[in-house]
Parts: sequence; structure tokens; C-alpha cells
Amino acid sequence: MSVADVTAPDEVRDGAGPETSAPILIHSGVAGFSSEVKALVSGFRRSVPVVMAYPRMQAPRLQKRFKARRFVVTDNVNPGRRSGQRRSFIAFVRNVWRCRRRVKRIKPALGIFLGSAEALPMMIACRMSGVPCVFIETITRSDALSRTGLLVYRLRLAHHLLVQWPDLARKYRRAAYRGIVYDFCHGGVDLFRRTDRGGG
Amino acid sequence: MIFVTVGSTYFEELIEAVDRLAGDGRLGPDVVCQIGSGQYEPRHCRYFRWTDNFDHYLASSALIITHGGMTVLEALWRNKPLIAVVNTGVLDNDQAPFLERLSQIFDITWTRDPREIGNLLDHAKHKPFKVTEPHIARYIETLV
Repeated sequence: MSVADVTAPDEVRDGAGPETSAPILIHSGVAGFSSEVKALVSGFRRSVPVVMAYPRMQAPRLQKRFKARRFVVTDNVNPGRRSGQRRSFIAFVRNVWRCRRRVKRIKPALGIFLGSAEALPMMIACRMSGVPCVFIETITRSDALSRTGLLVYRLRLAHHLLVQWPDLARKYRRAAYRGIVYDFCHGGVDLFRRTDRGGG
Repeated sequence: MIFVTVGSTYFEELIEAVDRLAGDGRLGPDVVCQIGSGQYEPRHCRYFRWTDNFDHYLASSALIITHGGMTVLEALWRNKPLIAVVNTGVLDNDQAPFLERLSQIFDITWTRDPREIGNLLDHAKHKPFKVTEPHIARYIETLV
């Protein structure tokens, strides 16, 4: 895929070959969130079709990182206060609507959203379309949910809210701890071999 | 190479402290800083703001000096010596609690004060670890 494809009008780009089952939609935020998404995706043991969704501003960089066969580019709205960009409610609503069109086309079996506020439009679109949503709080949140996580928790935007520290699951009763996204036995450090890793 | 990274925002105090150490010759000749959107530009180090090749810098570094974000885990995952510094200038700062929790597990070297980096250079290692936490992907696969 070239950069020109990414900057084209928002559409779902399909790679070669038909999908045999409904894909998982995974929304990747930027910077550290993309590292967590990469760690998450590398942890799937069996082959699952995946569609990556990126915010437009970071699409070229994220596409190089993931090299997904299928991807969706979303508009840059609500990128977070840390980036210093203005937020617009009207643009947010418009982006939700655009995301909903994409969700209707992709028909994902599951939507996974990790940590970032940039994922909200796509998550809301999935929710409106009846797609089960999983929100994974970033592992860097060890003692309290992020603002995005709190929003998801209080408004019950996700069907499953997963935290990566057991203490958080005790603190927020509707959150669950099901492990972490990093596989320390897989990546670079062969200190301990896992014997239960399956193929695929 | 010593690789210094501030993540997706900025961390002026860290870059200034590293630049000072590099100017004093405490860090060696090969120091590379990722400065993000920061205003301060180092005079004694190579630097860039953003890169598509972040993984390469992490993999080829001998020491990683980083803000207290996801790069800490990336360094641990690659078994790299690291010094983590809390970035108190970031909104909704969660780095100090995160580093405190991590240090209980991995015994990492970290500080709240970038000026302490010079004193921590000889301690920038973490103990060998065994992580038995399940991978979230196992649970997600049951949902599909």
C-alpha cells in the first residue's frame, strides 16, 4: 500500500483474497498505543482476519508498522488534549457517522479499542451497529482508569472493559482483568520458554 | 548508542538534562534524542522529533533513557538497560504510579527528577524476570 492510498478519501481498503470469516476490527491509536496494539495482535495464536483502523493523521506511519491487509482511515477528531489540538463536537459526530458507514461495510465480528480517545468515534459506531466492543485500558494505567476509560466505564460503551492490572479490576467492578498485552516470553528475551504455545 | 525518547508529547527537562550530560562527556559520543514536540533542541546530541523507525533505535541502543510511558515496556521486552523518568508536565500524569508498580516487579531504575540521571547511569539495569501473566489475546479469542 502506498501513502497515496492512505490519503485518498475515507474508504475501506481491501487486500487481495476474500475473507472467509467476519474480521476483528482493531483501532490503533498513535505512539505508545500502537505499541500495545502491535503486542496484542502478535499474541493471537490462531489466524484471525483483522482490519486495522487508524486516525488519518498517523495513518502512513501506522500502516508501515502494521502492514495490515485491510485498513480503515478515520478522521482526526478528538485526538486528545495532550496533543494540543482543538476538539469539535460537530466533527466528532460527523466522524461517528462516517465510521458507522465503514462498520456496515466491514461487518466485524468484534471491535477492539485500546486506550486512546481517538478510538471513541469508531467504538460508538460499532456499538450503534450492534458489534460487540472490547475496550482495553492501557497498561500504563495502574491505579486508575484514564479519562477515556472512565467515559467508557460510566457510559457502558463497551461490552467488555479489560484492565491490565488486577487492582483495577477490584476497584472498578464492571472491569475485568484477563492478562496483559505483552508476551515477555515471546519478545527478544528467551529466558523462559513457554510450553503451552500452540501453532497458528 | 544511548537513545533518549520522550514519546508523543514533549519533555524539556529530560532533554536539557541529557544534553548537559552529553556536553560534559558523561554519556559518550553517540547519543540520539527523540524530542517530540519539545522546543529545546540539544546541542551535544543528535536529535529528531519523530521517526518511522522507532523500533530500530530501540533495538540498536545500549541504554534507553525514556519518559515513563510505553517505551519502558518496550525496553523490558527487548531486555535493554533503561532509566525511566517521570514526565510531570503531561496532562493526567499516570507515570509515577505506573513506574512504582513496575519497579516492584522488575526492579527498574527510575526517577522523578531528570537531574538525577547522571547518578543513575551505573544502575541502569533491571533484574531478570519471569512474567506468568496470561496474554489478553487468549481471552479475546474466546469472544470471536
